[in-house]
Amino acid sequence: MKEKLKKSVKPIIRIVAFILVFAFVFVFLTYTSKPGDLRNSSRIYGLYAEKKNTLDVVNIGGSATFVYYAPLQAWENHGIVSYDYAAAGVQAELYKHMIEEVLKTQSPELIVIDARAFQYRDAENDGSQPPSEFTYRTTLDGMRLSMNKIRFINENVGTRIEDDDKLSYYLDLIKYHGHGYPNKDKMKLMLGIYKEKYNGFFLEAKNQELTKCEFNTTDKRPVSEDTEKVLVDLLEYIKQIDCEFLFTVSPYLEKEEHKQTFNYVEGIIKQYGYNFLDANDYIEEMGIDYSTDFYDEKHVNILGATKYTDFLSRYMIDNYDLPDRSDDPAYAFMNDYVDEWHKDIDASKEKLSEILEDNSNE
Amino acid sequence: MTITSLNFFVFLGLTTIVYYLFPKKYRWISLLVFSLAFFSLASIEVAGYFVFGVATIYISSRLIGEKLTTQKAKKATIVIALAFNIAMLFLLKYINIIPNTINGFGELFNIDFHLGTINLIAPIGISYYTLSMISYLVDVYWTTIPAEKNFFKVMLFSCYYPCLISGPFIRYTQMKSEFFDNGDFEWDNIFKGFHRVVYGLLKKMVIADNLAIIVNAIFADTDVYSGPFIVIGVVFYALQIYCDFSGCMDIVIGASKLYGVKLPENFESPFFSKNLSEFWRRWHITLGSWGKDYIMYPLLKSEAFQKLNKKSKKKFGKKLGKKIPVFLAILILWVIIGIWHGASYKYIFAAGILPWIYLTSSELLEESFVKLRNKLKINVESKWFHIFQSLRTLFMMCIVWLFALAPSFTQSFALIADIFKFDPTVVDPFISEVIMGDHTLYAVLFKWAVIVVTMLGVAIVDYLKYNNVDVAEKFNSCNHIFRFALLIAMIGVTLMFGVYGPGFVPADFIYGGF
Repeated sequence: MKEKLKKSVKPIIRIVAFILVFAFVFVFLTYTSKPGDLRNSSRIYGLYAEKKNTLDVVNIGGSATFVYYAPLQAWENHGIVSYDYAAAGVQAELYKHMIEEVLKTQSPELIVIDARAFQYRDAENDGSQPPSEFTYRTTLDGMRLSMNKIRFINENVGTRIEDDDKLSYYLDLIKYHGHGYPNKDKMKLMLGIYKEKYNGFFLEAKNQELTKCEFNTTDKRPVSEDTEKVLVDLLEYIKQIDCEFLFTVSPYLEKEEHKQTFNYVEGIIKQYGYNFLDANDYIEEMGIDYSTDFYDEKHVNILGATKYTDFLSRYMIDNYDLPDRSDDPAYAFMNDYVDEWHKDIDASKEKLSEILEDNSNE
Repeated sequence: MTITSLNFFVFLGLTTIVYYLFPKKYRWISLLVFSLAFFSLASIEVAGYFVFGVATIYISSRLIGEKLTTQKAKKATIVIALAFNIAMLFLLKYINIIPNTINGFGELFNIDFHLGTINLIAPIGISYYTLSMISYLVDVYWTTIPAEKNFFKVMLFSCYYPCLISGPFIRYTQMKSEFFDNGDFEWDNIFKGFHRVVYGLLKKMVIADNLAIIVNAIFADTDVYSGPFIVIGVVFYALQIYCDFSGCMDIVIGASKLYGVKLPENFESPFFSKNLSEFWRRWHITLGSWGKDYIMYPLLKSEAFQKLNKKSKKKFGKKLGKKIPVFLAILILWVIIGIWHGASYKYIFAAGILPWIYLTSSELLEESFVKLRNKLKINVESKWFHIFQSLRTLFMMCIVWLFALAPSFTQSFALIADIFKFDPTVVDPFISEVIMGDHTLYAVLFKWAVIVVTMLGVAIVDYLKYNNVDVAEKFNSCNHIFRFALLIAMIGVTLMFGVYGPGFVPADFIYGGF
């Protein structure tokens, strides 16, 4: 009897052990197969490496966040501990799930949401970037597999975007296998210790000379039904969360119809009692120069980012109860990359000034 | 549901569990239900052909085996049943050879017959199940086996789903005990079946499907890729077709093993064969043996061939005379095998007539070769001579595959002529577009290094099998940790480098412009 039991239990133990080892190998391969360039999703991965419950501000959005707000500058100048939890081309429907992911490890005082996603989401709008595989994957690929991620995929893939291979959204090894190879960064990702040195900020030292669009409008241009639904869903969700929220529009070459869209979006947001800050209304106050501070119509360069970071930081300090952590020894880790940051920002500014000089000579 | 799809493995996993939940006596019923479900998922709209085919075979086998008493009546019954099933197979799969032939002859004489082709939907695995059913009926006719009384048992034998995908051809005599007297649940079947499936996936998805990318690129554009590209392409095709077909067989045999049903082997290390007749005994074994047993030997035993034998002996002498009917029977067999491979003349030539030319000429020249070897004092037992023989066999087979790869029979000669041309300017685009594709250099090097190591692994396994080593048994007797690690490594390599999923084009994911 004992022998018989042993005979049937042993294979089951072998199978369970096999499944466990296989699961580990699967995770290892998933990270190893990631394409070499991690920048698309690096800020999403990077959140997992942040010390638990240390972030006071989390900026959520797309490039309108991570090339605009420099957390290390905000730390040095204002003692704000923040992180840019953002991915290129982010879609507004991801916000709810990004917030949920943030709240798993952090309890911020304030979450800043990039409202530009509500403007570029509608295909008929100027400069639109509607939902697509790319704009979903940049964020999803950086998220660990969880019920939160699964819910997003179930709700959106196959409905808001077409995709025959839904499984590859859950298990991105199916998508990327064969393209990657093991390296140090990927191993760090797997272990959850991949640190975004500048807390998600991306330095851009290019220039495009722009001319501000002059207009003054209070008209409201409605967003699409679906975008409004996404916005209302988000507002309904965040009103249950014990945290402050601020919606922002970062400086760019804002056009009249964009402003009208933001007026509409602002109206809905304010109904829920949240602040809405269109930084394009404060260009002079920020000291933004359209000839030097942008690198394309949609994004500021490092000069513009420096000015915007100081402006937004002051706004947050004035309007929210944000602690100054600069003298708190528990936050000394924020200084780990400050020296490197200075070197990088000096080099970027120097490069940019050379470009500007060349442009003026032409 | 393809054999490498997730759906197939979910189906396989669930049916394996359900199978063992059935009482031992009724497990074959569950297999029939799974097979019909599999068949229906693929071919529900043409299931009628299958049911009708099985019904004719079942009824005629019962008549032949039990009811009919005269040989004449039995013969008439089997002829009708076989004609009916062969006609159905021909109609559904090979009918287009008729308009293609007429149009082809018309072209020769500048006449445009303009006959259209017919696209009928054939049930999944029709050529496999038809030949298996024929073997059953003929065995009943020959009284090798009694007629099965239970219609559903004949149905299971005909549509056992692992065999519907790409064989092997099964015989009722082999399978009866496997299906209907299946033993107790054994973990050994589960583990061995799983190992075999994993090994098959590795061969198919990692080696065959990656080589296919290169082979397809070359043979899709032979105007551009000539000379060494064609040589490389056909050698890669040899490896691809072997790993693809034998990999599928490993998956099928492994899947069947999960139910405790042992299927016949279809490949036995063919690339180590010393000559072509050995190669064909080791390549698609069940097709070859089916052809011999149900086409060649009956032909040789037939009255017409007996008469021919006598006549040719008289005319050409005893030695050569007795070979002529054999060569003719082999020719008929190979032409049928050629047609079975595809309804086109290139297959009739490449997979039929050319192998026949090889086999008959090597038979006729055998004595001269022996004399030459003796004169050159070649040690036929040496390893080097074996390597030479294997490479020579592979070379001959590459010519066969070259014909099969050509778009048509007439274009195949132009393809051979292209081997002697070479345009060096296409090397760079070939590397950047086909080899590199959208991968980084580092990722490509890493991937191909792993594929080469995998191919070496497969070669070692085949070499051991060629030397009669029971690799599966040897593997099972290895240390647990080693087995575990090797299995995990095989799965890992398949997941990482196998060709599957939607694919990823980095250009779609470029960062620029956000």
